[in-house]
Amino acid sequence: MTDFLRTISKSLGRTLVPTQVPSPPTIDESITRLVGSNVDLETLFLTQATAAKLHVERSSISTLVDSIGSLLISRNLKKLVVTRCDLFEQAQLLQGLNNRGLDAKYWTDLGLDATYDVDAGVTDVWCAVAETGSLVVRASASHGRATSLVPDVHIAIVEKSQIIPDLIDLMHRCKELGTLGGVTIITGPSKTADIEMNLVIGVHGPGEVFVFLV
Amino acid sequence: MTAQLIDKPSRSLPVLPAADFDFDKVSVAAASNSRLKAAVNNGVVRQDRGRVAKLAELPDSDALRSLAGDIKQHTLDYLDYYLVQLKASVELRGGHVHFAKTADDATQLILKIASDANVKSIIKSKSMVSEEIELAHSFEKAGFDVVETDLGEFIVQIDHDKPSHLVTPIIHKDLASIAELFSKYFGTPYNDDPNFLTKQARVYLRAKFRQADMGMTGGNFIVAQTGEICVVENEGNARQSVTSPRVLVSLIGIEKLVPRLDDLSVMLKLLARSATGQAMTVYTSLFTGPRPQGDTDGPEEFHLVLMDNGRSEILASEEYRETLRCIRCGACLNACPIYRSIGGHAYGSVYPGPIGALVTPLMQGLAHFSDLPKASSLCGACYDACPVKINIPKHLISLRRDMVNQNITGRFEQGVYRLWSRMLLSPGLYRTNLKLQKAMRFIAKKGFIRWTPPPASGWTKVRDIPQPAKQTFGEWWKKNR
Amino acid sequence: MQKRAALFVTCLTDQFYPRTGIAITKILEKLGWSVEFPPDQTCCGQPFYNNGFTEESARLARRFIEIFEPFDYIVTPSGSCCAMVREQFHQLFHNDAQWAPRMENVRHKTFEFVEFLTKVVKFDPATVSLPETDTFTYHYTCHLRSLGIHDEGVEFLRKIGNVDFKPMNKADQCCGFGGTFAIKYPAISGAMVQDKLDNLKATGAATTICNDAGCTMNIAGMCNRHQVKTNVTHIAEVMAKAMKIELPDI
Repeated sequence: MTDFLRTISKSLGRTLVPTQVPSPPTIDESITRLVGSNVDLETLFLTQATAAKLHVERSSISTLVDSIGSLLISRNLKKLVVTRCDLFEQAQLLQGLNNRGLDAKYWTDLGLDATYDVDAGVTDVWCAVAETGSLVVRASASHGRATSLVPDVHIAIVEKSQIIPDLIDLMHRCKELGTLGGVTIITGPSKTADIEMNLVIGVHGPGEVFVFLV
Repeated sequence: MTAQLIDKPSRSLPVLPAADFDFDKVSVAAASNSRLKAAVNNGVVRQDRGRVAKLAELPDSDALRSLAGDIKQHTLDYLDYYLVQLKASVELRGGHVHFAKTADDATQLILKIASDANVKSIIKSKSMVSEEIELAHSFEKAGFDVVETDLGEFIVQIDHDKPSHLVTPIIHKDLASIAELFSKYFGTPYNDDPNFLTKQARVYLRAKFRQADMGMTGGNFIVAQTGEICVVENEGNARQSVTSPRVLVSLIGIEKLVPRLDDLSVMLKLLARSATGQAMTVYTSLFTGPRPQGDTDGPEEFHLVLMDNGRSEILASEEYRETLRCIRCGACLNACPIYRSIGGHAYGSVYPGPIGALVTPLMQGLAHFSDLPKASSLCGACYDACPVKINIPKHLISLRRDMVNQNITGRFEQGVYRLWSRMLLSPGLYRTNLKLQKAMRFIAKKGFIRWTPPPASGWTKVRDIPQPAKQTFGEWWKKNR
Repeated sequence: MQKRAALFVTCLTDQFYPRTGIAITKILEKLGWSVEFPPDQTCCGQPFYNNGFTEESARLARRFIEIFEPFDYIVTPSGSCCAMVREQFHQLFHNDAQWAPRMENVRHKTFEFVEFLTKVVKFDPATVSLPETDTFTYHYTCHLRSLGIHDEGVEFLRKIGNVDFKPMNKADQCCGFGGTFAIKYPAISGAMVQDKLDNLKATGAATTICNDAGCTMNIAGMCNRHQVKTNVTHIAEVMAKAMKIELPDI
């Protein structure tokens, strides 16, 4: 590595790597920030997410099982992988879905390979960004990475308090709390236009993303 | 400094010898290929207009582009410092960091990682640096099962083609030829429904995701302070690369560093907007290191390979260092009237368009690619489009200056220009020349001339030339004022 | 004291489109300006700078500065020559202790014609009108980009009375002139000017406004080769018509 670095330093006109450098340019929020906390974040998130082709519906913790259950049954989506989190424990989501005749298992019990064979992934989120209408998931032992990627359908539950205004705020959050196993910003269903600019939805990720806002 | 830089490329040349590149031949053929032009224009004009429309959403896109340019420039100016910082950050997260000086070094390194880890099958997501060193080709030769998982790159791979655009690699291919290709490759009846074709590829590649030992990504950005790689995509195949295989290798050019996570908020607000006119791509992932203890998906082993391959020489040039700001968004390609006329392959390298006209000669030798800086009308559309404000026209002129200074521009041509400039220093000679040129009026028909003598005969190959006026302005002024 | 402007006519306009220079002269005179024409002017050096002959272009640039620095304003019909003076002169001389101040002086008072009318003369094109309605389209000459000018030329045109404006698709795409580029790369340049022709033809406009002599020669030459009937001309000549200014038949 030292040879490699020496070449770089030499290219920059010096013999040693500096131990200190001037600060990088200041990020001027007046030209970078699109959304402040003074707006109705819930409505903005709804508008932006819908524009990004996420299907967003308002729900509540008490009616969550019903909302998700009806959706899955109407789509004939039976086998499910579910992320493990306090919200879902509180809503008794797993039991509720299984009571309706669905076959729901926690990610921690199912694992990666079996997730390739499920019909839908039901996940919580780390947060959501109003500016872009995005879901943000963070990998962990209870959440996994595949849960919002591998199944054809992704159902995400977002708590209103989780909506943050702008990408600027997301990056602050990543710095403060760490990206751990990895953070993914999801802004729509998987798509491509590689074949002669024809838009095709659902390539390697979920072709449908449903969001329940509680 | 510049003469040393351009003269002798010290990095390994690509598989196809650059000396064989005949720009004239390929560009003339491309310019007359109306099918190619229609396909290219259909894609790029849409993306260019999308860029303009989406940038208008920002409070001050011009200022934001300046900021993005400044952030990249700062990082380049202190790249040694940030590389040290990056290495520490990634190692803190449990990753291995490797530095590859040349394309060969990178290839050997990655092959060794794969064989040491007993890897049999590899899934690759889109990465321009891996195209630059033809990595998939090396894997294939070494007997690995490697597949490109980005739909466009997959099509390029199975067709033994080359990408022609930084972001939309098969912009030069039409639907019918893709349908034909898939029918042959999968042994299924011809079907030109894009949905069907995409699903066919999806099923095939999903099986690969499921059993792959090693995943590979590139990186749009990499954060020095905390070690994350940032990858943007619309399909989800890059996410698959960091989810299912047990080994992950990310190959990234050293110029992709940014100092802080916060810098990503600036970059991400410009990248997708500039590339395709979206506010965000469908997936933006930040990852580094192997999976934390307790996770059951994600890589067990992570290798970051940082590659030089000629970038440090460009870095050393005060004039050309700025070209390393490039975030590979493709906006310059989309805006360029030359690219729109000849497509990407005519540039003879993985980096086409205006940015390619700069980096290809800089990395592979100006003598081999002497047409690229000259085949430009210097219209400036690229500079207008660039999210990090690389002054491409200025650098094209600098390369032309280098070509004159190194006598890559022929001595006869140099003589013609020097003589012409001398003539213009003398008002008497200038006016005499105008008088002589007026003689062309004798061969004009209805005010236009159909043939011009060499060295200007290129003009009338394509179009007529208006005849000189009866009187020059100078003559009119003398008579009437 | 009458306001004075020096006309930098440019070599191509001098030889091929002197009527544009005459139109500019008479328009400015009609608007109360005194126009001077330094007779020893030749070329701003742009073709040499663009092709990497920096020393040669610097010689011509110094000559330009010497000839034009005595005047209050310098006006030119060509956006690309204007950009040479405003932008490339700076790159040539900003580190030169002797020439930098002279260069700064000259570049700050050099204007493209429409820019000059709008910013300095403060002329409102809505105050003039063509004798009859006529159809027009507009080609965005490229070097206006480096002057920070975008839609000003179109807006100016549209304000003139009796202008029936037909916008062109890809109006801001380069026409393929690019100076010596058109001669060295005929296939590519040809594809570009063919595209411009197709878009221009689709508008059906009787006149195509093109405010740069090089572009005009390129587009008009192409129109003639392919028998596309449109009059490709500088806005100055249209303005002259609207202001009832006679231009000689040369």
